[in-house]
Amino acid sequence: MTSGSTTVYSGRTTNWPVVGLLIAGGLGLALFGRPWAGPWPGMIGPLLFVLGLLAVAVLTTTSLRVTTGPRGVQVWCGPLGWPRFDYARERIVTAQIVPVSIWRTWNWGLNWTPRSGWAFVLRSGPALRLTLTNGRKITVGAADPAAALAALGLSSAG
Amino acid sequence: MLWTIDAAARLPLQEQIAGCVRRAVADGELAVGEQLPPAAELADALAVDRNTVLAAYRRLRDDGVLEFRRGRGARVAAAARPRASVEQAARDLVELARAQGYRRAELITLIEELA
Repeated sequence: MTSGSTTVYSGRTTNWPVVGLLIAGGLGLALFGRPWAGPWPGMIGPLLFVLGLLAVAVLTTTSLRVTTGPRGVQVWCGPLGWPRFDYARERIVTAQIVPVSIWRTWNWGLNWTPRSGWAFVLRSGPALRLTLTNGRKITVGAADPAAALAALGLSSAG
Repeated sequence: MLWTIDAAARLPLQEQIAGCVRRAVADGELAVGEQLPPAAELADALAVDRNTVLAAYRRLRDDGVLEFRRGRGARVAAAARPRASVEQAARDLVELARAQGYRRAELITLIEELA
């Protein structure tokens, strides 16, 4: 890479089976529960709450837009691009590619665990793992983690 | 996909950005219907003006590589692939010929002899 050149990675991941499942689940619940007709008195509130949760899940945890480059790593969740996470290049100490399995650890979507830190993962397979200056770990399920790592310009650390 | 631009290169930045998309389409890295990053986000990442990215996207739309849909951003058009790959190969050839000191007429003669 010459001094004047800039390389940036951009990619999008969408888990369509989960989108389908969540929408089907929501529709089934709405048709079965019929909150507008109220067949279950007293259940309208909880039903609407669950439907709202499903809508939020579809809008935030079914797709991921990732950009990496000299500015660092930016992650936009869902079709609306919210929530958004920005990790400046100066805050990233190491970056590496790690295998993730959503079935084994059940860490699908946007989640946090004390051991693994923040994770944005929509499918099993290789993902980009960042270690920040404050020691936090961030796992990003970019569509092409190798290209994402290359654009970040950080040497891979084991 | 990877976007590489060179601020010091003679080729305008919008042409370089358009070239990245053409190459990715030709290589099969960008599939038909795939959405490109919003212009503002890409401009921010590449440290260029948003209008530069928008100009590249508009140029690609005019060339039939991209299509714009209201609320769904810029997507790779269905008819993008064959035309984009030939056009990008021609652009790469022109760039290589310029770098090697070929004059325009010489390059045209060379292509005419081959075609």
